[in-house]
Amino acid sequence: MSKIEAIWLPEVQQQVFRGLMEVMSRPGKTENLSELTDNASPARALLATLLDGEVNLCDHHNLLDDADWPLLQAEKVAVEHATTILCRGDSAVDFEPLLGELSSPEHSAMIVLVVENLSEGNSHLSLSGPGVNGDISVKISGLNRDWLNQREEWISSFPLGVDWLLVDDSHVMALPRTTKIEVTSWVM
Amino acid sequence: MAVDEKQVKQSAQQITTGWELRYKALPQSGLGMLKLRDGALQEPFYLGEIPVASAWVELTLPNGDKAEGAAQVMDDDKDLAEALAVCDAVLANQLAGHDLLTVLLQQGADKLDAEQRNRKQMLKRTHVDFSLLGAEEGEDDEQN
Amino acid sequence: MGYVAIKGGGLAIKGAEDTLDYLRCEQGDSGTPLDMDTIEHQLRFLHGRVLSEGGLYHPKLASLAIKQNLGDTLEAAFALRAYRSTKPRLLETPVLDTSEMRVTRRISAAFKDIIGGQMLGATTDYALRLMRTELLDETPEAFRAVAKHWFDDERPDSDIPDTFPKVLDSLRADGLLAEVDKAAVQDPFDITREPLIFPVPRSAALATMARGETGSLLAIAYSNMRGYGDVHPTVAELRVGYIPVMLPHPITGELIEAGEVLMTECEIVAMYESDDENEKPTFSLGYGACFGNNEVKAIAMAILDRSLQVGMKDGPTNPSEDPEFVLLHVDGIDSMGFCTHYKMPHYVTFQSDMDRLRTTQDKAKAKSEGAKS
Repeated sequence: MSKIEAIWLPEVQQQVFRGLMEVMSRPGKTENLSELTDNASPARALLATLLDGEVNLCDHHNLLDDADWPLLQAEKVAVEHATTILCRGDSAVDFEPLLGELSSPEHSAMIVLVVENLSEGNSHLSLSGPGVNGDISVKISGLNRDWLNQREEWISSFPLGVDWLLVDDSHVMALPRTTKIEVTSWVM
Repeated sequence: MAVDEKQVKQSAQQITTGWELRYKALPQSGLGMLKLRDGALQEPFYLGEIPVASAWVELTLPNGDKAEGAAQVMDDDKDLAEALAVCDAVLANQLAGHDLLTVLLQQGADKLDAEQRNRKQMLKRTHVDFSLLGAEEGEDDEQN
Repeated sequence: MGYVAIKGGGLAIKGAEDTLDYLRCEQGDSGTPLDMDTIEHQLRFLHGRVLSEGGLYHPKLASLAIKQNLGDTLEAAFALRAYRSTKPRLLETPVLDTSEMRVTRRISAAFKDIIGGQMLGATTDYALRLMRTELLDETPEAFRAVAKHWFDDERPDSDIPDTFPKVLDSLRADGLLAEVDKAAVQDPFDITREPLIFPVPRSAALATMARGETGSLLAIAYSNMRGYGDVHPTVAELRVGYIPVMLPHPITGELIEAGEVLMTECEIVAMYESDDENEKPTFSLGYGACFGNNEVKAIAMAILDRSLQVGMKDGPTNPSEDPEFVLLHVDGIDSMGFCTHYKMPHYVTFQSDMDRLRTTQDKAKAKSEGAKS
């Protein structure tokens, strides 16, 4: 009688959260979220899990349905004030996200960045830093190079910075501000 | 919420048998901060917390018509909020079965009236009639 | 401090739990379990106290907290606070106004004739403090008869209005109170989200005291009354009643009554003052409010509101004017929690205290012996 999408169920959100913990602990690793969520998009699954009425969200490229907002409960705000931002990774960056303050570096933006593919692609990155054993190579497609340039600036004054959750249509990969990214070869 | 909760839930269930229900916002039970204006300096402050349950539903009738309803209530039972949201949809749109709810509304109104009568009685029985104290209270301490 | 991990105490702790429950049920066959309504109605003031000190208006759970803690008000308030910490924050109400209160008691000590009149309501103010021995063997019949006969002498509805204007509003209209700049007021301080780091705004003080422990507030307010301060208050209005909680309908936005809250409110008028030479002097005010019917707490809070206003503006000259002293010591959960923790094992800490004492004693002895030789 009452239909409720998997991503809004507490037990599914628990699983999504555990997947998120995995990828945040091991940057470069990917988790398959769509098999947990009845094939919902990882972006929506992550937002459903993380957001509630006490936080805000900017859907910068209008990727969400109107009907999602009352379910997410988050307050709609402009991108410069948002602590969670959802946007596409294939266009150039056109905003300055919150980077936090020295006394509260966590008052910064977490960016859910939608790309085309997280396991195959012509953009090759080498990641190192906390959570990575030595270094790890990842292949991505659909990420505009401008994002990586901007990120260098945003994370230059650690602990200030932003954290990324890259998603394609099934997986998620986390790139916290502590991860060092080196471009080994690039074709978008 | 003067009416018995079970009746509300039962009625909501009964009226919508065979209908579809979709959540426009998830039913939730939690807390609300009660904001009060202080009577002295007129500044708002938080007096404390109250339990709040809320729900927002969309009903689809067998003939395809849709109706929305929502409710926020001072209670910790989110199933009650859901049932009230259903009742809200039924009453606001005069859907089939709304006369069942009219009965409940009357019951609730009667109970509220009884409570009001109770409280008025407390005031009536303890109202100070200063005129009975005699004529020596001549000072001008009347307030306009 | 180091706390010894309790191994082997587990059984004793379980035993303590069972022993407490045994004492609760000791009457056995000759007893009946307390039900929630009984506590809420027949122990009305105790119930209201726990509601306000717990900071959560949940009458049924307040009754349960009293029952499971065998009447310990500090523990009961603690149980309510613990419960509220498990629930998510959903919303804030719009700013509610107590002039909408469905009053059950309303008095003024400042004026005899107030618009709407004075109604004593249910109060112990005029009781002869004699033991009502007829209640020792109260029969169920006698008990029920009281409610049955309540409307026996019901007068026609006459002129008792539904709501009553505030006494202070007419003082304000007469220019006896300071002008209020509603626009200057910021969002209220949320003590459930931010710690008190001084200086704090007045809304933080009001919120802290609203759920403060009654005895603590009373003692500090009393110190002010007895002369460690100069508030000299008169109660302009004290009201007890039910304030409707209005919440916007999620679809239409229309304000709908979601429920009502029993509360007590007290507004006091203190000495008059003027902010500077050229401004006309006006009465200064104090405000107290809390869940439930708890007048001593509301009056004490109003006195402390006034004294803290003085302290926050001119610097404290006595403890009741010092925001840090007052606000950090009136919360019942904070204070009883710290007090109670002293009972927890401090074996290692104390062992090191003993070692240090022995060492110091030895040194002192060696010194005095060395001095002799």
